[in-house]
Amino acid sequence: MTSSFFGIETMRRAILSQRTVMNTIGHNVANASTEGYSRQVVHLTSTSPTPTPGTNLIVGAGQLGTGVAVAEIERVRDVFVDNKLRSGLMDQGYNQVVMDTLSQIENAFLEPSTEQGFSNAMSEFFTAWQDLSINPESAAARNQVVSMAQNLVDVVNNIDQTLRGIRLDLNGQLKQGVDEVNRIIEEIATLNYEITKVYSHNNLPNDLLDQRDLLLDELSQYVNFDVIDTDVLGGISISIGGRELVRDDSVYNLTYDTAWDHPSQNSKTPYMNDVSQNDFYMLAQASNGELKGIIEARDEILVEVSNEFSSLVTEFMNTVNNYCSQGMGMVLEDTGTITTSVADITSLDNFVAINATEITQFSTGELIYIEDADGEGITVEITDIDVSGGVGRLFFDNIGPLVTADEATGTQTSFSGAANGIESGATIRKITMEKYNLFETADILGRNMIGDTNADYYSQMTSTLKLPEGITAKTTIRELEAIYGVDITDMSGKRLQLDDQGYSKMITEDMTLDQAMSIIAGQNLVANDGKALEVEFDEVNRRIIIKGETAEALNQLGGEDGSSCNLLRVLGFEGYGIAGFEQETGTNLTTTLEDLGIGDGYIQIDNVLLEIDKSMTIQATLDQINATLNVDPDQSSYGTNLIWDANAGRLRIVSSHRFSVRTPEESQIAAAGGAIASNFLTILGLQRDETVPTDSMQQQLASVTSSDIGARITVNQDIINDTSRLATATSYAGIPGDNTVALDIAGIQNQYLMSDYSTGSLANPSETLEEFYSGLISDIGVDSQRAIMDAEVIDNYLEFYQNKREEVSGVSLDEEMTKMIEAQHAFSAASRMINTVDEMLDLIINGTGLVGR
Amino acid sequence: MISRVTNSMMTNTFINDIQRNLASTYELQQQISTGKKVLNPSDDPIGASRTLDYRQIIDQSEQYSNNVDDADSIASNIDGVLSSIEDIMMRLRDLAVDASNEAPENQQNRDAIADEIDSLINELVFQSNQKFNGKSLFSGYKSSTTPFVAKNYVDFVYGTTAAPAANLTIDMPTTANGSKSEAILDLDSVKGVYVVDDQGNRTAVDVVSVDPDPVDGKLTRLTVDTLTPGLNINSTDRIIIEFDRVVSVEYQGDTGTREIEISNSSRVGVSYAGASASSSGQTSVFGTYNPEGTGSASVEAFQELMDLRDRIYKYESDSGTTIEDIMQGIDDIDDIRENITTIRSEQGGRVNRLELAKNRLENIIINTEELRSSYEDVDMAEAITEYTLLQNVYQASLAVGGSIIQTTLLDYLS
Repeated sequence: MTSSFFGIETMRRAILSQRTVMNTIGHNVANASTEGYSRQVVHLTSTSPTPTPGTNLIVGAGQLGTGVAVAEIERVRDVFVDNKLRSGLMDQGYNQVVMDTLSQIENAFLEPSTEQGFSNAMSEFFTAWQDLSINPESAAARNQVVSMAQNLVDVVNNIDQTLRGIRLDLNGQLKQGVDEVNRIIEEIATLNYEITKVYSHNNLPNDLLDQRDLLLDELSQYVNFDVIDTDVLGGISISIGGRELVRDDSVYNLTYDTAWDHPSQNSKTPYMNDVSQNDFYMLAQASNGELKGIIEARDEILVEVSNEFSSLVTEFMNTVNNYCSQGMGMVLEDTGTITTSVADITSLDNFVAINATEITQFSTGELIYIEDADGEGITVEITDIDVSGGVGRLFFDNIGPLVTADEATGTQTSFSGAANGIESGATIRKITMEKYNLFETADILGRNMIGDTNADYYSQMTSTLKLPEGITAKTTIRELEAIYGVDITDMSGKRLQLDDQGYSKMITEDMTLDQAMSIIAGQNLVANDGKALEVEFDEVNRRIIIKGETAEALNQLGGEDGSSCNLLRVLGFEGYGIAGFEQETGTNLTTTLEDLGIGDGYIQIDNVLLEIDKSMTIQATLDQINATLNVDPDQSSYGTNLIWDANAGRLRIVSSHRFSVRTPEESQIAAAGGAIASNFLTILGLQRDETVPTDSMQQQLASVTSSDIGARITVNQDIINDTSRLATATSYAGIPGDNTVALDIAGIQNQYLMSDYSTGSLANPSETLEEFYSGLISDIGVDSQRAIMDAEVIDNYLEFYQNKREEVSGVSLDEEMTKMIEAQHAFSAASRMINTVDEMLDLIINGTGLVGR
Repeated sequence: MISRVTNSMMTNTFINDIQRNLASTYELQQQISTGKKVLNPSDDPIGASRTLDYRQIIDQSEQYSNNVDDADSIASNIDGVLSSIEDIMMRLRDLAVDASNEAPENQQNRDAIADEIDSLINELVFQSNQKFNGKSLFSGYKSSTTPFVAKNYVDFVYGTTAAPAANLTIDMPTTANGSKSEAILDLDSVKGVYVVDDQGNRTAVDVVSVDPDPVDGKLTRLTVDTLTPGLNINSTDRIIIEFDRVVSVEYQGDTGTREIEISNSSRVGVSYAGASASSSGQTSVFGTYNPEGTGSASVEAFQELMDLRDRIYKYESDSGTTIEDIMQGIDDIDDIRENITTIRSEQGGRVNRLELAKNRLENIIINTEELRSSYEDVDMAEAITEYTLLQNVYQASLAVGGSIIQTTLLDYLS
């Protein structure tokens, strides 16, 4: 039996529900163009019918509906689409930076559409030399060469400056990106707090969720992150490669460090005990996102282009300078005149004699010009100097063209009037001006940018271990045992053995990792070389750090003793300062160097140069290296050790200090006499990375700002001052008509000087400068073109999923209007119903019981 | 399948498509306005690299072509000079033949012939010293030096100290390899003798007699008059003997050969050494010369001509010049002429080579230019057609988009 007002109550519910529907439609229409808004729908549900089953149930025709209620206002959202879209945004963020950088690099070179590029400048430079070779006497031709050289230098410096500018921009972008990420995660944490609050009141925070999703979209442009729901209602955790950024309402900001501008660490090396470096490492290791793109564009793409261009320019300048320094300019400049003090030397046995005190001015290898009283002379190179009996003798062996041998007697005669000798009174002048180089390199292009070539490696005096996800400071040892499936302690607890210093504390299964670590850290830990150690548990980054002057002793942790606690070993801590690299299997200590494809040569570690022989085994080589490097393992001078890890098949470097390793090319430079350097270390997987600067380099780098970027290469000021110093002839005697040097320099254009950069060596040059350069331009073009194509693909992908999202979550005005009319009618109908019930009640109240009135 | 179309989907799609149309239009517009297909390496990486390579080939070939032109004009200039030298040599030969045909008593005629030979020697030196473009043709690398210097004097350091005395004798020095310094001379040819001290003061002394060397009759000892009172001859003083004719033609240049590059690693010589060192065996215009102080300072050919001249002067004198000596001079002239003919034919070979190189370079330039253009330049007809097409698409999309987006249900609600 229903009450009299049953119908009115039902319709009241209908009116209220329909008004909610109308209001939601209004909200939808109002937010039709709000970014990140997802349409909301009102779920209506019928209220419980009457009667409900019970003892006093009056059996009737059936249950009677009681109307409608709003079950929930829900936003329409597809999480799958969100994820797809975010992965697209990450791709876009990454690709955008790479594409922009490549496009800027393209613009730096101004090729091929303009005439201001390096190619044209180089071509004009060589053309000027050709002209000079035709007119070696002409001052105009000389000036032309010098001004073309200046033009070339300007072009090179412009390119250099632009490349440096790109790097500075990227540094700025990196910092901005980190700030931006920090802002976003802070907002997300605030939203998390609000959302949890709403949820806890059993409400759906639709608009807050929309805002958070929008922030996640934004964040995905910057980094590649993982989102998981935490056990707090509505809370989420965001992490990059295991490094948490947000957990519920807590924020763990990325720490930006100026060292990121010139990372002192190869971004591929393991963690260091430095949060900011860790953050950098994590960003560099990420697979996607703008920040990753910036690091890659800066440390890989830009560095490679700079290196290639730098090797081209360096080779070009060195070759030109090499020819220039072999030749002679037009003017003889002397360092003073010395008169031969000893009268006629009876036989000109390739020497001149002068005063024994005056001879001290000369040294072998110098060029001298000997001029007789008539003003004719020859240029000779001093090959030896001898002082005996108060007489100094300068020896030389290349007799100039004016000294001839008499055909009949075969005896050598000199140019001088005196028989078989240089007369007393001939003058000797030291020639210095021939050595003018055309180019001076204040700083070889790109070096500042990419770090010194003698880059240091840092051994990891700090060893860190990254723990699997899910392990926190509060994880108990028991839980750890479950995760690793290994017995760490038995119920009675086991002792933690550290080194051979005995053991003091026990680790029990009830302890948390935090507590266990504080026990370890509380010990006076000493490595087996007597150096103190520290152990730390880094909760934020979920890792264990062991620090020490040397980390080698850590191997002892856990010990061989079965009763000792193998906590660290279980956690996988090996305990070395490691800079190890993978090596092919099948290689072991008895493998000879020859089998590895290594030849005779030198290797250089630190400042020590070692000769190795290809017949040596790896063991023998390491022994020899270690014998030299590791001065005294027990003393403070504990050095650097190379260790072959047979199990891993890799080379480790363990060092108590920073050490450097040189590539074969660098060693070759360092090895006196140009001995061939060995690629021993390279083959065993130890690569030098160019992004690693030395301390002094770092200081220099820190001081590089946009304002002090100036010319890096200059044309020799001496030559600008007097263009006649420009070399054209091979000897003084040939001046001014001898154009041999000019021809040689013009011919550099056709010389094979370069080789494919990917081989990293100029040993077998097969490309001309121009070919190498056009190859470089084409490489940049290919990369850039690929980035542009990728961008198109990504744009299409994004457009598809954006439309997909709009399709699901977007507000359709037509739809809302239709629903509005629907709700309007429902509202009207409910009102009509109330009216009707009212009329009914009116009839009953006012219209009945009138009988007999 | 799209199940639901919302307003923002339509606007987004519309904006994106319009942008895409505009981007292609913009790219095409850029190509048309610059006339170049490849503006950035990324437009066509291979094309960009080819363009650079081709441009270098063109630049280089153009430079080589200029070099060939230069070499060619130098070569024709050398040929012209050599041709006039040949003419002079012909005249010299005719004169020598005339001299040999003169009757022994006609010394006057012979003197006239010898005079003409002397002036022809001067003419020869003048011709050989001709410059082209400010550069001497026959001085090797020493292009700014005049190659041949004709001297009518000898000078040498006296060597000993002499106090004033009557009839001082001055011995001509002998050279390192023992030969006498100068040509056959007699007292008549000596115009004057001077002593120059280290301050550069020049004092004339009178010659009393000239005594020939008893062995070969060449001038060896001058007896001069009593020196002016107060004039001492010091060992460092120089003696200058002046003659009425050229007594030496010295070579100032060197033996270098200037080259010009006419193609990658191929060079062509553009100069000749006027004379070459005696031991070198190098081809030169006037034979060998001795570096200063080693034998006669004169260049071989000129020495031979001067010898001939002097023999004709002294045909009847005591020195015993015979008809054979003159015939020897004719032979020498023939040798010189033959040498010059050889050089001229070599020169002709060079010119031919230069012409071939020029043709080849021009072909390279034309062909490479065509290739470069095919990679770099826009085909205007094609580009403009495409541009028109894109414009139509753009206008159509604007028209359609405009009318679709405008319409909503609201238009039909009362």
